[in-house]
Amino acid sequence: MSALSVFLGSVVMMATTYLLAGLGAVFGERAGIVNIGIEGLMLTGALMAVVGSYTSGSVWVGLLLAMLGSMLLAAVFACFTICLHANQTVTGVALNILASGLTVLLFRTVFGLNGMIPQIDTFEALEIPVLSGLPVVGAIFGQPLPVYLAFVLVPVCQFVMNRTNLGLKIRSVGNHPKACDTVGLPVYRIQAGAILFTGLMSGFAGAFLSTGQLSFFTEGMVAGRGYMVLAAVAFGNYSPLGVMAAALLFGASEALQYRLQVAYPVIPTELYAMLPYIITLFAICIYRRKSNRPVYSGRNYLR
Amino acid sequence: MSIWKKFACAFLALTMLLALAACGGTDEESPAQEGGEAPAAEESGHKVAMILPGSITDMSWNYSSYEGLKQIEATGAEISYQEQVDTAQVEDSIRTYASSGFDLIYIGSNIFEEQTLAVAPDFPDTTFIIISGATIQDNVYSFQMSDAEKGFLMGVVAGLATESNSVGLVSSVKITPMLNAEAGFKYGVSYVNPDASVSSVITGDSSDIAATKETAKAMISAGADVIAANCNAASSGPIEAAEEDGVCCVAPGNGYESIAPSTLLTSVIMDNGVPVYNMYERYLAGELPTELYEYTAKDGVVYMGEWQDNAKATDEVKAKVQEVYEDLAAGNITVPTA
Amino acid sequence: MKRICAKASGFFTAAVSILLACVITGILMYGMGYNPLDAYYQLFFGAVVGLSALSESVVKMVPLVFTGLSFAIAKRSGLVNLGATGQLYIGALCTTVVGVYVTGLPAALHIPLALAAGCAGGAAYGAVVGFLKNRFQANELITTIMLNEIATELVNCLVDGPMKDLDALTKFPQSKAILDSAVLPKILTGTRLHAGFLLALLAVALYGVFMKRTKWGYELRVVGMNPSAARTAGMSVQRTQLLAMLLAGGFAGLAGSIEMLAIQKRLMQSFAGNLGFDGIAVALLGGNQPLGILLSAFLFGMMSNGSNKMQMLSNVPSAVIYLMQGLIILFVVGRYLYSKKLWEGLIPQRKSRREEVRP
Repeated sequence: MSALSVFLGSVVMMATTYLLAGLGAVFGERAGIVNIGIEGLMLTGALMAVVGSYTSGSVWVGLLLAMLGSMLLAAVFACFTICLHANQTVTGVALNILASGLTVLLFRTVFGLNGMIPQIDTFEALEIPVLSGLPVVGAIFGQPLPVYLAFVLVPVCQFVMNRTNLGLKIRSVGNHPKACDTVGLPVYRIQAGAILFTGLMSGFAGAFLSTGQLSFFTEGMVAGRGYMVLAAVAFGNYSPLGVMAAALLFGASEALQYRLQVAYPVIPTELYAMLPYIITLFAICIYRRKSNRPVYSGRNYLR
Repeated sequence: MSIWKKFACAFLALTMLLALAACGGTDEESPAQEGGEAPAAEESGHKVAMILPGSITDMSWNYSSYEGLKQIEATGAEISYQEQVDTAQVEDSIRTYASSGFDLIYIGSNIFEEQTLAVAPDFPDTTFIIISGATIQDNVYSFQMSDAEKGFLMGVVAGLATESNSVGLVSSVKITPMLNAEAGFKYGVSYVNPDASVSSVITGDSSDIAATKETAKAMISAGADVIAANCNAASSGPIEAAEEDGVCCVAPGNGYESIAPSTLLTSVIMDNGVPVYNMYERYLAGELPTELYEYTAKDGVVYMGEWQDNAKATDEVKAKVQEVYEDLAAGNITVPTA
Repeated sequence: MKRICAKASGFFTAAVSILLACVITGILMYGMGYNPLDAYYQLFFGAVVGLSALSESVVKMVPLVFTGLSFAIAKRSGLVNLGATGQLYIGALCTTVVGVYVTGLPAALHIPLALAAGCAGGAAYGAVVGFLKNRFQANELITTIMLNEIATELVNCLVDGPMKDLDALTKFPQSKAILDSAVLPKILTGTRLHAGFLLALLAVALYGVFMKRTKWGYELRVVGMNPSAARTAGMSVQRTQLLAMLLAGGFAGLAGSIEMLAIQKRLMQSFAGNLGFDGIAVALLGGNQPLGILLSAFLFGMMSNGSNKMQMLSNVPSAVIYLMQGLIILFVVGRYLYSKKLWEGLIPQRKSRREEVRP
């Protein structure tokens, strides 16, 4: 397989983590919820997936557990921000701290300190017949199942967001909660639903990281990708399609960074590590459009 | 009752449930918990503390140092440790341990050396041992471990196993042990295979496995056919990459067999636990070294792990590695450091 | 009278929150086979009992005051500054350059110069966010996160390259040590309490005066509360937000500066830990008010110090501490949990016993 093909495969792989979490986050953001806690939600998902896969022997059980675990934490977030009118940013920060503690505790309780990585079930690469044999793009079609799932979900999410009643409600709640309340829309319920969906997808993203892209858990393994998801959502102008574009850009610059490090080791690695962020910064300055950022973003609606 | 009040109820119920689950769920496993009140064999009256820069689950530096501490505990000493300590915190940690009656404090890395030297004079009755430190004065002792030899042996294995004459080493952070291992690795490869080229990258993050894995993948697509990993907690990344792409790999310790059943050659182990315990024995005997001593292969600190079932691990390769290892342990090979 | 009541209820909130978090964490610790009472004894004594414990809590509080102020002032102008981390690193970098390479100055000159450099560096880096926002409408949520990473990598690169101390004991990537003439003096012998504490108090006072008593502060508040009204009144939203980011960056830069001059002494990779993001919680718990920030920063400093002692002396895993800190923030920020309004509707038949707190 050519180096280019492998590179493209890597891009898609790296983009998937951002994409999965981003698709969840975009609904939360559109409903007016800024969730900094995605980092923590992903970390929880990553651990729960490994725990589930290890104890049951099936990676699907792991995925289910990851989604449930993340949703549980997202429910805490929903409860505090909606019922208790707690500030979203602080609750998110708290969630991240909480998750970093919880995951370490649970990890050590389940796996102990025996200095070895156990064998767990993971998502195997799934080669799509014909397509995976293509010359340059072949490696794109030899990925674990969640990768395809993530990209299939993009048009679905786009459709739901822009063409369905539910999507309209979510967008309205983010823009004019008061008006929605007046016409009888259950504002809180819609926001809670959006938060839970963010949790679900973040859990999926975490699970993909630990059982799809990799095959075990390490403390703090999300390594700041949760914050990048936030950036991807804003960069993708709060639309699922845009999030996909942003995720692919992040994935590409990350994959490129590692290749350049290997190809030109003379230049300090730190400069390469800056690359994704500089590219994003430039891109956001050049690429401008009317923002879809909800009017009521990040503020709690008080009835 | 409105929906959000129901939510508040549900949350409270959830909290209770969590707390209950925590009680019920962990009871059966609590005896195995680290740091619990383990019944000491016999009280030796010594209190030993260790301050570690990373997490004790890293399967490498911090893990093996902590194992050494557990060995000390087994002799009846009272132990305590603090993990994930940074340079801003360490001075306070040292003061806390020293003023709480700990008579021997291990400092888990030379990045804390200056802070240790600054505080040590305030606690003349406490003994400090800096792991991989360089200073011996008054109540501060240090010992070195040959990270370079660890890298060297990894390099020897990689250099012998490669067919494309291109090997890769992925490290995670620019700390002395990793830089020394990198230098040793390059020397090891050239020692057995002068034609082979080495590609070495330090990713800069010890918890980001995705980054170390992608780096290894990039090396493989650039032509490397043996990958060595030396990234503390993130070491599983390159090994996974090697397994996926079907090239050989060398692990920095035991425990990676399950993630690369078909491509792992062997591992090279540097066991911090051995010198940690050895220094404790010397401390008890009142014979802490006054000259800086380096623990190496000949002290059994650096050694080869078991060979895995791998076609590339031919008898010829194994024999050659064994020969080099014996040479090294006999002190016939001097490995350069960074 | 009303204000006193409000303050008293603030203390009450914090106290109940800590209590709640401690109870939940305590149950967890008990379940894991640790003794929670012993652990909390260590926490309490380690955090506040005795001069050295108290001073260490204050040492931990100082940078949080500054990162808290950084978030608060941007927030008051309507911006979410997630970039304190980056501004802090740039501040530390500039301070280190002055502290290491400018020689021959007396302390009375060198210290202010180093601090000013840090403040200016942070401010400039903060202003970049404002500039990108004004010029390109770049969302500050993204730019701050990106600039954080860029600053971190820049410091990583410099301390391993041009600024690396080649004569140091270790080959670790770190800068040369700050010269003695630039080191912030300690104000209490035998502890780590340093003059940065006084600077923190001063900064809080300045922040209060700026917001309440100056025209700029007034404009800043108006812009934050209602940008369109501000525009109608003839204020420049762009200029005001740029000023806010400049000041926010300056505060965060000082946090890095003071950490460098008083505690760290050498610039090295990822030295700041979580100071930047903790600042967000500090500011918001303190209601973005000067006194509130001071108190919540102290609460955080105390927790961080006490929980360290707790881990060291009762051998509770460090993860438990993160758990507890997360819970405390949650319970403080969700203080509506203790409001009578919430519970009255829930339990109508027990209205007669309103005073009862039902956590």
